[in-house]
Amino acid sequence: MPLTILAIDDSSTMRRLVQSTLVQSGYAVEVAEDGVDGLEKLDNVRPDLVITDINMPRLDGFGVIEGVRKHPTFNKIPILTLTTESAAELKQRARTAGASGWIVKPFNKDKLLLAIKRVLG
Amino acid sequence: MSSDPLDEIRVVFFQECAELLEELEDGLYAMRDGTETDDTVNAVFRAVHSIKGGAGAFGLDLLVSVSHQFETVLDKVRSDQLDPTPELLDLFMRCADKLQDLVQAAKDERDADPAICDELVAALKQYDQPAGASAPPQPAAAPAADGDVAFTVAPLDLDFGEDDAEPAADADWLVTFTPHVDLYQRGNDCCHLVSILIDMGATNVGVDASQSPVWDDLPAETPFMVWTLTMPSAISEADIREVFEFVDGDCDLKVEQGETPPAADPAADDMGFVPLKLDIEDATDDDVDFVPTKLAIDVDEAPEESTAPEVDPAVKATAEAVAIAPKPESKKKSAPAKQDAKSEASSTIRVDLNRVDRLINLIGELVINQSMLAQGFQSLSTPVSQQLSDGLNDLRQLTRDIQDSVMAIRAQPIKPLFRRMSRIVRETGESTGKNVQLVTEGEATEIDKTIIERLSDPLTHMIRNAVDHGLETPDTRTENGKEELGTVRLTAVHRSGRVVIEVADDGAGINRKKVREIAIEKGLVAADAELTDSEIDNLLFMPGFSTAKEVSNLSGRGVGMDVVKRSIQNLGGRVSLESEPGKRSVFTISLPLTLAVMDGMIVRIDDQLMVVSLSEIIETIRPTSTSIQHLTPSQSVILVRGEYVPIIDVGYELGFRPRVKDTSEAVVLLSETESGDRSALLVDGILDQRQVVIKGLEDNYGDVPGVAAVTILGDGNIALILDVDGLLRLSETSRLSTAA
Repeated sequence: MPLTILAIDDSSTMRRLVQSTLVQSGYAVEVAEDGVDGLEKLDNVRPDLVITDINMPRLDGFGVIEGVRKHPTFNKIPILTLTTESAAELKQRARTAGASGWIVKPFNKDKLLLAIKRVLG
Repeated sequence: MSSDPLDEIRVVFFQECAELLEELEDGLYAMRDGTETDDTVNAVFRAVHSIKGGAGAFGLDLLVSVSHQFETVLDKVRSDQLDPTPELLDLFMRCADKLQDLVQAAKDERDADPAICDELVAALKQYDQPAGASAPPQPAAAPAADGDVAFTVAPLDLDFGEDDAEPAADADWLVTFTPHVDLYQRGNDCCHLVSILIDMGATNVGVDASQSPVWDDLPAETPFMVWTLTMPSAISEADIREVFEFVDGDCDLKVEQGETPPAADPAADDMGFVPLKLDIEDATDDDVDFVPTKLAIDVDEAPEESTAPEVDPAVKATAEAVAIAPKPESKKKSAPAKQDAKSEASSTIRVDLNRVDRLINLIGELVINQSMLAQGFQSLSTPVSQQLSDGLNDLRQLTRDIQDSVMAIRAQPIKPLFRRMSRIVRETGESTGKNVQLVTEGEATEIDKTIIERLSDPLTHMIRNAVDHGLETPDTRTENGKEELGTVRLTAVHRSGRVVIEVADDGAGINRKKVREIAIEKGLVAADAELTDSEIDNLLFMPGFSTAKEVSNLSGRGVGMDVVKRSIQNLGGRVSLESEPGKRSVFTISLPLTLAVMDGMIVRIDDQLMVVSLSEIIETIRPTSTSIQHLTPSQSVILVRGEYVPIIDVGYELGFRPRVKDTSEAVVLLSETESGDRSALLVDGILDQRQVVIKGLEDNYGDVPGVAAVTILGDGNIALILDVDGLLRLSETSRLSTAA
C-alpha cells in the first residue's frame, strides 16, 4: 500500500502541483479545498501525512493542525505546513500548534520529497 | 490534452488567477465602498497570496515580486497595523491592475515591463517602512530567503568534498540526538531522521536505552533513548543539523568532531553507548522491545535509495493505478463541500473555451439540420401524420432550447466589466475635478464572453465622455440647483432577446445649439439643414466631431463617438442617444446575446440569397420612379426625406450581374457607413427576416471582399452574409476606376 497524503490547499494550482508531484513519486494523494473540507475527509482518507496551506477560507492551517491533533485516531500523524518565505513567524506558530515541519513555497519536487522523507521516512 | 502534467497545471493556474483577480477586485471595491465584511481583507490577502504561490511555482518572478510586496502591505492592513486610506486603496487597485497585466503577459508568454512593477513595489515598500522598523526586516521581493536556503540542497545530492563550503575536517562527526516528548507530540519520528542520516552515510549508529524505565512503568509516548551516529567528515555540520530542522527545540542535538569510536567521547562513556547491531542481539529483553523495527531494517539494507521514498515495483504500479483512479472520485467528493463554500465560483466546472465553441458550432449544424428537415416535410406531396408533425414541432422546440442553453454556457455576467467602469469613473472624476459616483444596475445580466471583452473599450470611452463632457463641474451644478455629486448610471437588462446597456449621466445634456453649430462649422451638415432634436444629438456619432473645447487627456485620445458606434455595430449592436437639456444624457446600447447567431434579413440579389445583419440596416425603402436619379452611368442617388443618398448596387459590386436598369422592382436598404454617411444598398427583393447561424469563411477562402461570413438556410442553401463596410470600399474602388 502506498502511503497516503492528504493535501489541503484552497488554491487549485497548489493542490494540483502537490498531487501531481507526489503521485509521480508513488504516494497516494487526496486533496481538500480548505480546513473544514480537510478535517471532514480525515476519516475517509486515513492519511499517513497531512500537508496543509496556512491561509485558507473557512478554516485555516492552524485550525487544521488543531483539529488533527485532537482527532482520536490521527492525532499523531505528521503534519507539514505549506508556508511562504516571508512567514518565519508563521512557521513558529504552526510548530507551536503542533505541526511537524514545513515546506516553503515555492517548492520543487526535491524540496517537497525531502520534507516528506523527514516525517514519513 | 497535454502530456506534461505541468502544462495542465499551468492552465489551471491561469484559470485560477482569473478567479482570484476578480475576487481581489471585488474585495478592494468593497473596502473602498465600506461594504466589506470581516473576511474581505482576508479574502483579498488570500487572493494575492495564492497568485504569488502559483507564480513562484512557475518561476514568474515579476509576478512574485509584485504580489509579494502587495501581500506584505495587505498583511499590515489585515492585522490593523495600517489603515486602508483612499490613497492606499488606490495603490492596491493599481497593483491589482498590474497583477492582471502580469498574469496576462505570463499567459501569453510575453515579457512584462519591469519598470512599472518596480515603481509599484517601491510605492508599496513605503507603506512597509514604518512598521518594518520595529519588525524584523522582510526579505526583499526575491522568492528565495533564509528558510529557503536550508531546503535547497538535498543532502543526498551532495558532491562530497567538492562544493562543501566548510573545509572538510579529518575527524568524523559524532552526532548525539536526544529526542524530547514534544517531538512525538508533533508527529515527528526519530527513526525517520536517523534513517536519513544513515542514507547520508552514517558509519556507526548506536542507541542508548539505559535511561528508560522498566517496561511496566514505561509511558508509551515518552522517548528515553539517546541516539549516537558517526557521520563522515566530508559532510558539513550544517547539512547534518539541517536534517533536524523540524525537531529543533524538540530534542537535544550535539554535532561534534571527535574520534570515530563513540567511546572516545567521555560523555558517551557515561551514557554507556552500545553499537546498535550488537545491541539487538545482546541487549536485555526490555531493550529489544524498544528498538524500532523499521530502523533495524534500514540498517540491514544498503541505503541505496535517493530522496524518493522506497517504492517496490509492485507498489509503484498500484500507486499509479491509484493515482488515476482517485481523481474523479475526489472531485465527486468535493462537490457537495464546494457548494457549502461561500464562493459562487466553486460550484462551477472549468471547461476549455474551444470545447464550448465546438459544441456551439455543432448546435448550429443541428439548428440548420432541423429546419432542413422541417422544410423537407413541408414540401412533401403526401400529408404528414399528426404524430409526425407533433414530433417535428417538439424537435424544433428542443433544438431551440438546446441552442439557448448552449449559448448560455458562453454567457457571463457583465459584472466584471461594470466593475472596471467604476475605476474609470473614479479616475476620470479625479482628473477632471468632478465629484461623481457610479451606480450600476443589472450586474448579473449575462452576455456572451466575447461581447463582454470587446465591449470594454467602447464602454470605457462612453463612461469617460459621460464624466468629462456630460457632467458639469461641481460649481456649475450648485449654481443650477443640482446636487454637487454627479451620477453616472450604468444599467444592463435583457430585453426581447437582446441585452440593453444604458450609460446615463445626470449632467447638462446635449447642448443642441452648440452641436449644430459645430457640425455646420465642420461641414458635417448643410447650414440650412432642418434637423430634429434626435438627429442633432446623433451628430455626436459622426467622425471628427468633438465638442470639447480642448482635447482633454481623458476622453480625447483621438477616438470619437464614431469609433464607439462602429465597435458596437461590429458586435451586431446598435447605439443611440437621448438627451434632455440641463438634465441628462442617456446612451443606449443594444447588443445581441451571442455572436454565433445574428438577426438577419434575407435578401435576393439576382438568383443569389444573401443575408444582411439587421443591425446594419436603418430602414428599407421601396423606391418610387422619381426618387432615384442617375447622375452618371455608374452613379445613382436616391432621395430620402430631402437628402440624396448614393446607391450601391450590391449585385453589380459583387459581380453577380450588370447594373440594374429598371429599379421599379428593387428594394433599397438604407445603411449608415463607417464614415457616418448613409448609403443605399440596392437589392432585388426581401424574402425573410430570421436568426441565422454564422459560419466563418476565412478558414477556407481567406478574406473575401464584401462578404463577412456565410450561413446555411433551412432549405440547405448557402447564403453569403454581406459585409457592408467591405462592400462600400469595393464600390468606392470600382467607382474610382470607372471614373479614371
